[in-house]
This record gives sequence, structure tokens and C-alpha cells, in this order.
Amino acid sequence: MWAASVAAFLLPLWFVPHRWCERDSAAWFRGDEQFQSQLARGVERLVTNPLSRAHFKTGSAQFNGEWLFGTCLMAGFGFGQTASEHPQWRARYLPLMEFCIERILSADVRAFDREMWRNDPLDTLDRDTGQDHAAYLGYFNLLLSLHRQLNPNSKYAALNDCITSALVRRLERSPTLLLQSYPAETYPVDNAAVIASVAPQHRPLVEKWIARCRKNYLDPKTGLLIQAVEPHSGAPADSPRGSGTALAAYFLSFADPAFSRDLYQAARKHLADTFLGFGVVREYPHHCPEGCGDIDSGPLILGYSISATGFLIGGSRIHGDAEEFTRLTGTAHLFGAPLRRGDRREYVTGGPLGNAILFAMLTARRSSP
Amino acid sequence: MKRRLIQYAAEIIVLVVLHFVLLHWLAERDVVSVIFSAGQHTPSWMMASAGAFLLVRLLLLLFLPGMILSRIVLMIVKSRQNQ
Repeated sequence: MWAASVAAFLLPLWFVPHRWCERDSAAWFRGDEQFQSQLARGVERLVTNPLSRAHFKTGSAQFNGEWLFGTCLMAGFGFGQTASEHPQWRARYLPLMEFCIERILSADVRAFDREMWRNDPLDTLDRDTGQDHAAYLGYFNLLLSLHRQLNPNSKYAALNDCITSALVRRLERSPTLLLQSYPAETYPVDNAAVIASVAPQHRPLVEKWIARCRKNYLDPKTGLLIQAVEPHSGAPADSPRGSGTALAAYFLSFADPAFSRDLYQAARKHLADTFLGFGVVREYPHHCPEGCGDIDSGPLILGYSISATGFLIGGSRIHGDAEEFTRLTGTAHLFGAPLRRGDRREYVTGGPLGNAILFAMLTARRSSP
Repeated sequence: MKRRLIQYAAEIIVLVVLHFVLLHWLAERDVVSVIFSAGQHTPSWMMASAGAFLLVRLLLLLFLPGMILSRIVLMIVKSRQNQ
């Protein structure tokens, strides 16, 4: 009697919940207009409400500043990608993308970078004093490049050119072909955004960078991206990790879909798992010692990373992996708790940054086969 | 048997309503989002509310179908044994 009861408990646990949570996945995968516009309205509400560092509660003013920047950045990508997938909405979403760009340009959003470097990232574009500002400039410049692609008469074209010139000059002077995000801190994932942002005008440099990255900054066993390296030698300073690899796969899709696909496949092969049918992504590969989670990975639950799981949604959509996309969006549904209110959709557990990241990942542009 | 079925249905309704109310109430106050960005300055009542909500959600979405089916199976087997 008890065996029958236990079997009756376990069978639905295995077959029902993930299927229920995956019921919207096909719509997201095919770029359903209604779903994208609902999430866009949700993110619009979150970013256009007065949003400051004080809204975030990481316990560190620096990280709060990064999260404010990340929210505006990812929302900008989401609006841009939605405008790209549904050109009839450009008139609505390009101004929202421009709102995000203006926010990123504002003094309060770029303060986190200024405080770390003790000078302003935009005031030092014509000087090369070893102050690279890779995090702020690389990510921001990629958003500007996307805006310019969508609107060839972009009012930010001059700024885009100016940042691109500074980044290219600094990359060419760097013996590691990497720029520092903050003093003595170098992250290949931030440099993936840097290189993607200059790709439209500097193809040979991109090819050179990818060759160097494949040789020096990927884990030889797994092909995953090393999270951090020593600034001067380029030697690994951290393990290969899921959050960095999945995010780099997303950014590099703008510059080199083949390299992006390789990173995605490495993460899929060595980090992606299923739990009761839900898609989950480990932060560390099996041969590396596990950390306990940090600001990049989010809290680790049994070694699985919230950030890596969320970022890999983008990779799976970009590279047309419907099976993995379905599993991962099922997990996002379970833990994200999407809620529709009127014509808006928001992930209740996401907050501004989580919603902006999911918006960017769920609308990530497919690469051409 | 009928009384049991009514009791199970009532439990399901309570769980669904509790989840619905918590989801909307906590969303209005942007409380749950602290759970994935918790830092040293997150008030403990926020963490507790967010944790409680996630527990209710996991109970509802993950375990409820199995709980219903296992109880029905148990009820059928018991009633057959009694006959």
C-alpha cells in the first residue's frame, strides 16, 4: 500500500511540474510579440521609476552601483533586441533604449566606475594612462554599437566612435590583449564585451583577440572561459566558470557567432544539468573546487548558479537550442514567479536587475546558421 | 471518503489562494526580489517573507500533484481493503 502511495507521489514529481513551468517556453523561443511586449512593459516600469543605488541591497555600494548599471544596460539590450526582432515596434522601443543610454551616461550610474578608478571613464577617452575602465566602457559601447546598428543615424555615433578608438588603442598596447575592469582586476568576460563592441569597425583585431582567447583564456579541459586573470601576465587568477562563460557567449554573439557557439556548447556540455526535468547550470566544472557563490554567480544551490542558469537562456536562444531553452525557461518560471498585471509581465523574484537580465536573454537575437 | 475528498480539496484551495495572495502582496512591495540579491543590509523580515513565499511556491508547483495522486491512491487502496 505504502509503495503504491510513494510511487504515486514520485511519478507526478518527475513528469508534471517541469512541463507545467515550460508551457510558455515555445512562445518565448519563437519570439512571440505579446510575451515580449508584456515583459518590455514590465522592465519599462522598473527602469523608468526613479532607480538608484539605494534600491539595491547587496551590502556594498560598489556592487549596488554595478547592479544599477547592469539594470540599465540589460534593459537597453532587451529593448534593442525587441526592436530588432519586431521592426514595427522600433518607434516605441528605440526611445526606451535611448532612455537607458542616457541613464548610463548620467553621473550617478557611472559613479561606481569613477569611484574605483578615481577618474571618470568618459573624461579619459583621449588619454592612455593605464586606466582602462573596461567594464563600464566595454559594456556601454556594445549597447551604443547595437543602437547604431538599429539606427544608422544614431545621435550617439560620435560617442561610439570615440569610445571604440580608446578601447582599440588600449587593447593594442596591452601585452595580454585584455583591459582591466578595475585597478588590478582583469576579467575575460568583460573583455568579451569590449571586443564585441569594436567588432563592426575592427575585424582583424577581433580575429587576433579570439585566437589569443582560445589559446590563453579558455580552460584546456573544458573550453570554458577563465573568470579572472592576472592583469600583467594573463595567467589564470580564478577557475573557469559558468556565469562568465554563459555571459561571454551572449556578448560574443554580436561579434563572432562561431566563437559564441563554442563557448555555449562548452557550457552546455560541462555545466548544464537537469533536476526533475528543470534545466540548471553549475558554476564550476567537476574538476574545479567549488566556491560558495559570489556577486557574479549569485547564491549557489547544490553547486548550481542562478546567474549561469539565467545567462545560458540567451545562448540557447541565440544558437537555436530549443530543448535547452525550454528546460532553462522552465526553471526561470519556477523560481522567477512571473506575474501578469494588466499588459505588464514581471518576474516577482527578479527585481530590476533580474527582470532586465531575463528580458535581454529571452529576446537574445538568433545567430544565422 | 467524501469527507476526505472535501478536506483535500480545501487544502489545495488554501495553498493556491495563499500563493496567489503572497505573490501579489509581496510583488506590490518588491519584497521577494531580495532573495536573490540578499546582502548584509537586507532586513530579516524581508528575507523571511521571501523565503516563505518560495517555500509555498515550491510546495504548490513541485509537490502538489504528487501529494494529490498519492492521497487518492492511498484512499482507493484503503477503501478496497475495507470492502
